[in-house]
Order: sequence, then C-alpha cells, then structure tokens
Amino acid sequence: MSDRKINIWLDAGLIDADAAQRIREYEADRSRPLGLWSLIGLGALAIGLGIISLVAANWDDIPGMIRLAVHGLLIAGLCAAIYLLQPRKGFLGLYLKDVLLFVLAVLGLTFFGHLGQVYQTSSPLWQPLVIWLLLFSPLLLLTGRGWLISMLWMVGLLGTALTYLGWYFRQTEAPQSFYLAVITSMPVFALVLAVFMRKISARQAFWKQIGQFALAAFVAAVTLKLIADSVSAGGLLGSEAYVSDIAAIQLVLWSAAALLIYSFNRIATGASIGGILVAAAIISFVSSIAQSSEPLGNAILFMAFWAAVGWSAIYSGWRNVFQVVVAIIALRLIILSFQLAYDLFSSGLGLIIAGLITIAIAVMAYRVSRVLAPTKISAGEQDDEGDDQ
Amino acid sequence: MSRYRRFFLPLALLLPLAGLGLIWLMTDRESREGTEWDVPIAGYDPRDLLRGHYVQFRYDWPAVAHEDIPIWSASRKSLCIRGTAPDIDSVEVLDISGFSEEMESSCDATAKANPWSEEGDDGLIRDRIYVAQETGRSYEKKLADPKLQGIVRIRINNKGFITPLSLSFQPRLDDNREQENVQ
Repeated sequence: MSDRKINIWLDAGLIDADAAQRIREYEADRSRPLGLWSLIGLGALAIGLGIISLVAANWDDIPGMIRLAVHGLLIAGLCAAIYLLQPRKGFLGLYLKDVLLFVLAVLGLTFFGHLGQVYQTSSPLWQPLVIWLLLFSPLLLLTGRGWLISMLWMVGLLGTALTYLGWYFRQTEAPQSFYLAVITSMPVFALVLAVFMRKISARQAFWKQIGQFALAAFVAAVTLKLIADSVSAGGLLGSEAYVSDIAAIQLVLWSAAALLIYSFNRIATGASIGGILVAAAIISFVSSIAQSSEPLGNAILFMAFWAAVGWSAIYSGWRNVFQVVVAIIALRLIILSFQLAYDLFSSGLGLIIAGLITIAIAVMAYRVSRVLAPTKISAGEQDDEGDDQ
Repeated sequence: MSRYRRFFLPLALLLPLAGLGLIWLMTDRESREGTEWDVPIAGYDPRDLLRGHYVQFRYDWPAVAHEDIPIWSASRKSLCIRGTAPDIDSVEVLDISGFSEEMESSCDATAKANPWSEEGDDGLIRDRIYVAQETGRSYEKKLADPKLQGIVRIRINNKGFITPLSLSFQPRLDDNREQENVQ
C-alpha cells in the first residue's frame, strides 16, 4: 500500500487523519521484508539449480542402480516427512506438507521414466500413468489441502485418459463405443466423487477445488467437441460411425451423474451442476446425431450449451462464471454474423453489417451482464464458487 | 482425525513405496530374462547419427532381404533367429497368424517389433542405442569408417522385444560385396 493513495483519499475527505494514521500503522505491521525474502529465494534457487546441474553433468558416471536407489530414498524420506507433518497445523502442516506431497508425487512419476532409462525398457505412456494414479491417488486425495494437489491430481487423471485414448485408437480398428464413452466421462466421475466427498470430508475446500477443476475440464471438453462437430463430420473422433452411439451412452451416464449429484447436494449448487451435465448430454447428443455443417444450427447448439452454463451461474450466484458465459456467447454470435455474411463480403456490405452486429452484440452483452449477473458476494465466503474458466 | 492418522495415512504412504519397489523389482527381473545376440548393423543415416545422445542404426540381419522384414506389429510376423547365443546362424521371417508353435519352438529366439518403443513399428529394421556424451564422437567416427563393421549386442526378452545393449566394431570382412554394390 502506497502513501500516495492514502493522501489522495485524505484530501478528498473520504477518510479523516485518524483513519489515515491507523491505515498506515496497520500496513506497516503487515509489511514483510520482501527484498530479503526474494534474495533468500534467489539463493535457494541457485543452490537447487547447481545441484541439478552437478547431477546432470555426471549422469552417465553415476551407476544406474545408485541413481535409482537415491531416487527411491528421496521418495521414502518425503513420505516420512509428510507423516511427521500431518498432525501440525499452520504453515508447516498446511502449506509445506502440500508442497512436499507435490514433490513426492512428481518424483514418483519420474521414477517410471528413470526405470525405463536405466533398464532401456519402453511401454505406452498411459501404463505408467495408470499405475501412478493407482499408487498415489489415495495419498493425494486423503492428505491434499490446496490447489497444488487438486490440480496435480486432475491433470494426472485427464492426462491418463487422453494418453490412453490416443493409444487405444492406434491399437484397434473398431473401437468400443461403451469404452470410449466411459473414458471420456472421467471428468464427470471426478465431479461426482468431489461433490460426494465434499459432504463427508473435513477438507471441504480441497474437494470443492477438485469439483471446480473437473467441471471446468468438462465444460471445456464439451465446448471443444461442439466446435469440432461443426468443423468436420465425425467431430473429434473423425469417424461418423461411432459418435452417435458414444453420445447416447454419455447421455445416460451424464444424466445419471446429474441425478446422483442432485441427490447428494439438494441445494442450488447441486441443481446447477446437474443442470450443466444434463444440458451437455442432450446438446452433445443432438450435435452428434445432426452431424451438420450448417453454421446457424451449430451456433445455436453451442450457445444453448453456454446458455445452460449461464443459467446455472445465475441460479447459484457464480458471478465470474456468468461474465465468462456472456463473453463467450457474444463472441460466438459475432463469429456467426461473420459466417453468415461471408457471401456478401465481396460487396463490402457484409462487412458493414457484421461490424454493426458486432457493436450491437457488445453493447447488449454489457447490458445483460450488468442486469442479470449475480451480485458480488462478500469476500471470504463463496468467493470463487464454480469459477470454471 | 486420530484414527485417520493411525490407520489410513500410513497405508496411503506405504502404497506408493511398496508399489514402486515392486515395479523396480519386476523390471530388474525382466531385464535379466531372455537371450543376448550379436547383430551386424548397416545402412545408418549419417544425419541421424547423434540426435541427443544416441546412435541410430539399421539392423543387417544375416540372410534376410530388407523388404521381407515385418514392419507393422499388427502383421503378426516375427523374426525367427537360429544359432547359439550370441552368434546368429540364420534368420527367417515367421508368420504367426498361421499358428505355428512348432515352427516357433524350432527357433532359438523370436523377435517382434515393439510398437511403443522409440522406433515404433520399425523396431526390427532400425533401433537406437544410448551412449555417453563424451564417447559419442568416437562412435560417430567408427560408424563412418567403411573398414569397420558395427555389431550391436541385443537382448531379446521373453515377450520377443529387443533391447540394444552395447555397440562394438570389428574389421569388415566382406569388402568385396560392398564394392560390387557400388558398381
């Protein structure tokens, strides 16, 4: 906090001299020696990079078994540290433990690569990822507290699903629809787990984050699918034969998930998440069946999905999400106006019309987001509920 | 919280330790299985010699025309190797799809392309061996020397997958054949 602002407020009569003094004292108490800390941080970074460089330069001279043993010992040491830190509260128990947990999980993942290097073995990437998920999920989900761990776990889950899908398409000529529908529904399963665990766990914030990341991944994936459907027949899979089967199975799976989530969580949030799932299932199904390259139809499906997200945001009071929804729908409308005016471009008239529509949409979007947006909730509670973009 | 600490947390911490240890053990055991063979190498692409710290080479299987070597793992073909390890007497292409366990048992080792290795489906044609940074240059020189024949020692594990172990060189015997090819 700079004195400049305080002086301006003081001059404008917003605060009196006492208040200004109290603010200065308060800020002085809270100030941290940032310069000192950044120098210490810089030193620690240099030491860390130096150690890594030393090891990397002599990598070939260190026998593989010794390297693997040191790697294993590091993992064991981190496990012990996490066990000792578990009962602690405050900085050590909350932040340091999460950082150690993150480093442990990453070291565990690199252990597979290290084994492959020492023994010169190779396997499809999804295999070590699945084993890593199985071995580390209980620990991460039982102990994690912050976004570092919830994000790592979601990235691990989605990465595993994606690499598996890539491998599966290479392996097989005739992919199984049920299989594909289940693998692509991973974010939905994570969402159900998060909503359920949030009810029974003591670490509500952690499970809320898992749910947010899962919902964000889901909405992003559905959006991508709708865009892909409009770009090429067959969409993401590039083959028309299976997509409607897959979308039908997803319709059932996602609706069941929505029902489950609503039954766990009979408040606004549960209804909102369930609403997004059902809307996504139906719209994705229609899009898969239609297989149309008609710009208007595809734009309507796209905007219908985002309108459902917007409705959920209003219903549950997710202010930030709602702003994002308005921006995305406005953007899609603008793209549509250019798509439809494409033929008139040669005359220049199309460009003028598209420009007018763009301005009109921008103004309307601004109005809509001012009128309809959920009001700001006081900081601290529900500040970033469902912040999924 | 105390029950969690006493029971679940130690289990959750031991699971990755035990799992990673077990995988290490299995990988170690697997790496000792199989047989080792010496295969002459040829036809390397000098531009690909050292990308990173590995040498890329082509297998020059004795007595097999290059066109016949199965490239696509799904073709269900493998190489039947006969001889006494590590010396290869003969190699022939084996069609596994026409189920022939007798044929396979008459081989001393069978090699298949490992589709998820670095070389993918071309694993029976070419491969790469990782070398230390300092020794890379001397390998590069020897590989470019027409008087030297590169020999790679490979291990074929029980699944039939190939792992190159080491690279050595010996004076080339069939200089005449090389000259014929040039003409």
